Amino acid sequence: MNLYLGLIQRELLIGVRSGSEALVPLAFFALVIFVFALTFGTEKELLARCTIPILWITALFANTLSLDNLFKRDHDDGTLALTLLSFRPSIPIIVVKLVIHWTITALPICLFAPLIGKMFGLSWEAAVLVGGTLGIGTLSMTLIGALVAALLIGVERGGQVLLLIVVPIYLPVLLLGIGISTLHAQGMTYSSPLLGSLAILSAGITCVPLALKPLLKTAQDS
Amino acid sequence: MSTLLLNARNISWRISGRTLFSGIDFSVRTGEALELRGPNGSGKSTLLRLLAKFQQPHEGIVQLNTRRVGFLGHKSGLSGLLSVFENIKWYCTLAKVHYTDTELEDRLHLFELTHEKQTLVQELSTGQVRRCALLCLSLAQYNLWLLDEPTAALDSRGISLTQSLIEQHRKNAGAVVMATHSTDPIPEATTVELNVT
Repeated sequence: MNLYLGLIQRELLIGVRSGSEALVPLAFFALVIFVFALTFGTEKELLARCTIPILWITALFANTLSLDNLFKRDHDDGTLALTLLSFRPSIPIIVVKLVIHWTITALPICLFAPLIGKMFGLSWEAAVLVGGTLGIGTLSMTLIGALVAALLIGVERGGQVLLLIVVPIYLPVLLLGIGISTLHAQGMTYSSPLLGSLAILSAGITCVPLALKPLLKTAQDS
Repeated sequence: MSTLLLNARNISWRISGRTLFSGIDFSVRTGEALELRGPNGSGKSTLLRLLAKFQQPHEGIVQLNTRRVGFLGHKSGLSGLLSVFENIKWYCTLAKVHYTDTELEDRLHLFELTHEKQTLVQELSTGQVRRCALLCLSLAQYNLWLLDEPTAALDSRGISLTQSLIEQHRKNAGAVVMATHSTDPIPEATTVELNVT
């Protein structure tokens, strides 16, 4: 079987069988949104104004929930060591792993967010824009978070430390993402924050897989 | 004619300011076996990880003349959420080797894992997981095996099977470096003794 097809099949099987990996971020996202909807009560105008930041901040925390497991399971059972030692190119394998992780944990949120946005009073155009920018933003977050997850791979209770480290690093992604929708709501051009978001994503796609290989290799000592 | 697969020169490793080992010199050629022996904490597993190039030694060089290196450490290298067969399939894909289902069935039979074929690895006993890891290694057609106490958790039949696998691998122009406490040495193997300093 082709290496990448085999890898996709393997990662999807593990993702589905682990259950929590795929479901927890989406369930957390839905639960927090539900709590916000309850607490805002009849203040529908206020809720509509706050919808975009609520969706973004909730997506940010949902993303960090799944990061701890990104490499840890493979490290704990030794499959990561075998993959890195293999004569096969490790960087494309890492990229495929990241893409599948994003597909399982973040894509459902990006698809779900426009529906929530519409329910909370956004126009369809604004809701779809939020979904799209969340797609760019969560991809960037996954790439940045992967670096921190690789650094903390052998650390006891690394998940808690990870949360404290990644949230401040995610801030530019968060602010640019919210900026796009805010400018759109005001009828202004949002090309600057959009280009900023795309620049972060491009930098992440270019640099993160290259940096991950030595980080993950060093982590095999722990 | 044998080919040099691994050359380690003047390897040293320090941990927390203490020298764990130093001046380690050896080479491994096709058909050869090398045993790393020493008490717990003498650095056998660390040395194996240096040979696998997971880390650079503090001094000295490790030269691997093959890219087909199989590593079996304390961790199995098998995903607990995949079945025995799914793990084998993935291992073969990663090692770029192909076997028919019949050949795989035969190998499963040899390792006494036929009935566990569809069982998730996390549901197997420690000894069965070790057998499965050895099965995968035997399929991968790697030139050099780096093994860290491969017979740990195995019963007597498992130990005999491992010994015959190593013999077969050497006959097929493979080589083995193995950290071990076994009282039953590999025939004609070189031994590197590590001591706690």
